[in-house]
Amino acid sequence: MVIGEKYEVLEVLGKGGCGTVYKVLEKSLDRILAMKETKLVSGTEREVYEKETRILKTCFHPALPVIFDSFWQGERHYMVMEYVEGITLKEYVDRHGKVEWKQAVKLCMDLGEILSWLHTRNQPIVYGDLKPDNIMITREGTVRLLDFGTAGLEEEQEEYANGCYASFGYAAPEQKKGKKAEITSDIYSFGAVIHYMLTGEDPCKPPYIRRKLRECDGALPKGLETAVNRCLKEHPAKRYPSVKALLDELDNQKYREPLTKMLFWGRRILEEILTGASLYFAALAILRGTQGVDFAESKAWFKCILFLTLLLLWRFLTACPGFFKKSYRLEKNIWKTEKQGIGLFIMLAMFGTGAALGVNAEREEKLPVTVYDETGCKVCVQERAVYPLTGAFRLEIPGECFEQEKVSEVTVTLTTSDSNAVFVRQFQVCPKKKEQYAKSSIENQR
Amino acid sequence: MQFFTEYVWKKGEKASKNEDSLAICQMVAGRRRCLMVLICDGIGSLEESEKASGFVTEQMIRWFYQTGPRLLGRKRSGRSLENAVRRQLWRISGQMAEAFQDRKTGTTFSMLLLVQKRYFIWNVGDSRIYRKIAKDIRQLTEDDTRAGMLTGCIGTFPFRKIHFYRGRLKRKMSFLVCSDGLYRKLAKRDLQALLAAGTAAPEKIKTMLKEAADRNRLKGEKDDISGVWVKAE
Repeated sequence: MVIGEKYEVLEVLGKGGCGTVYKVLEKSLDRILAMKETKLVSGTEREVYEKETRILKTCFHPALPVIFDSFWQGERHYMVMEYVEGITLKEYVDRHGKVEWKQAVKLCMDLGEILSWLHTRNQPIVYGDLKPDNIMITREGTVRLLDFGTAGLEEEQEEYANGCYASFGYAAPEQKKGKKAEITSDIYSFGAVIHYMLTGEDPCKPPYIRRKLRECDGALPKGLETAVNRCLKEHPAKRYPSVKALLDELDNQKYREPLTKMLFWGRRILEEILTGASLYFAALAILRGTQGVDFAESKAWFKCILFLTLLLLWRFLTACPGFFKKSYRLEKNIWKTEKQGIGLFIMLAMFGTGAALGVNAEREEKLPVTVYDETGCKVCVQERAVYPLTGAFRLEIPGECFEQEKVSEVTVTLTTSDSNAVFVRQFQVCPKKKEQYAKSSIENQR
Repeated sequence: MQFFTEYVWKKGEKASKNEDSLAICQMVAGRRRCLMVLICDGIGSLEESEKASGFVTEQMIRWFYQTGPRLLGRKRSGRSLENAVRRQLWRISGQMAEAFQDRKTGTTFSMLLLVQKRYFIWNVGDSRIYRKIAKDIRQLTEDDTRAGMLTGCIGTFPFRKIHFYRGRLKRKMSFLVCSDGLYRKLAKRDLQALLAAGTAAPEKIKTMLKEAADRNRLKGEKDDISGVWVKAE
């Protein structure tokens, strides 16, 4: 297959929600390149597809792909870029298991440097969809960042009405609610990626939870866990203000580890000695003050020492948090299935375009539909993306869309993606004027 | 006790998707090592059976990690574990009946749970679990079939009795959890060789499983082939 009259498709590298990536041969220069194809969806501006090209053509960094060409062919947009050979971080962890923490910190330093460069430009760029599938590790061991389909200038970020370019498990909470993506959203995703590297646990797979780092691996430095936890804070203001601050913290880990351990145990021992000594002398004072007690001959010494030993033992046990804590350590997690998505249905995001049609009406219209999840939060789903349905969700159509005092029929159609099964629900609505509704409800009550 | 596992999961020629789903989950909870092996074989003659088998395995994995640490972290009676899994399957059945409404779908269910020195088995359908100890090879589960037709499954059908078995786990005991695609055309000596391959390297056992699946294919097996080999050391 030849595209654009000069690019011969060699193989399909990958398919995603946004489109397909091919490995192509540019015939004129006889070089291997990568080509990303996206199909125009009705209701979406062409500018959205050209945004990635616009962003990348102004970014010159060794870790970012170089753009060579961009063109439209009918309803399909093609972007030709440098072909990078390597494996994604996801493939790396799937193949080799979790990454050793020092190596993970090194990879994070490289990745953080790219993000920091994007964030500190004259016009900062927010990446928006950082996840292991978009991070490539080349044969030389360097890190490259791919897929800038979600990236955009920080000042141009907006609340998405019709889509949210986020990946389940790695998207910041504010992104999932459709709010503006910011630099702190990238930091959240970065923390999620570090967690994945260190534990090998993918939040996109069951059981869809993100455990504490040291619960997965007790040998990880506490400072590293603190850094990752701060990245994963719910509120953006509580996260690191910049990637550089995070990188400084990560860089300190390799120097801090033995010192931290020494300081920790040194402090503990000193605390126990001081507690024991103060209690001993207090007990001694009480016993000496008691009349008729011959301290030297009574069993007071023995009782005092026994009491102190028990106290020290109790302090030691309670100070070791893992001793009594019931936690679990994951050793193996394999799940093989051809079922797509989470839960039972794959909901195609036709709702994002407002696909509620009026049937048996004088005319058919497309109406705006807003989607809310089970907690009542607005959900923005990108067209053609898979929304991970974990509970009930609510569809809302503004009443103003319907003609007053006329009966309209609303049809909601659910089509499963891989079969021809169709579920249809129809119901009628008749918006009445408020006064008329109040009057009729009073009459009904009578 | 240490657990070793290898698996094979191959799509058949009957359907466009592999209707079998399998899960192998291992964790240490409260200093007790627990292993859950689960195979679900979607009923091919019904709709969207890969969704049914995938959903059941997905929910059981969730159950294992969310309820497991509390339930498996200390010694429990077999009855309490049996009831816990049964309740979870009841919930899953209800969710599937609600989601699929008038449509019929279902999957078999064979689950092996190893906790410290005990094993527990839950089974409904025609997937099987074999056990080998010393030279004795035994089929531990009972098929829910009559005249070649399946009489029990988890899905949109009325909730049926789940067969439950338990026993003491001994060192060098091995199990084979498999769907009907693996055991139907598997020769007895191949089954013995698989279960007896305890001392072989994991790669060799994986190869043996794949070769057994390929031999089944050559013998005309068209169904999906899934199997998990487990050994306790």
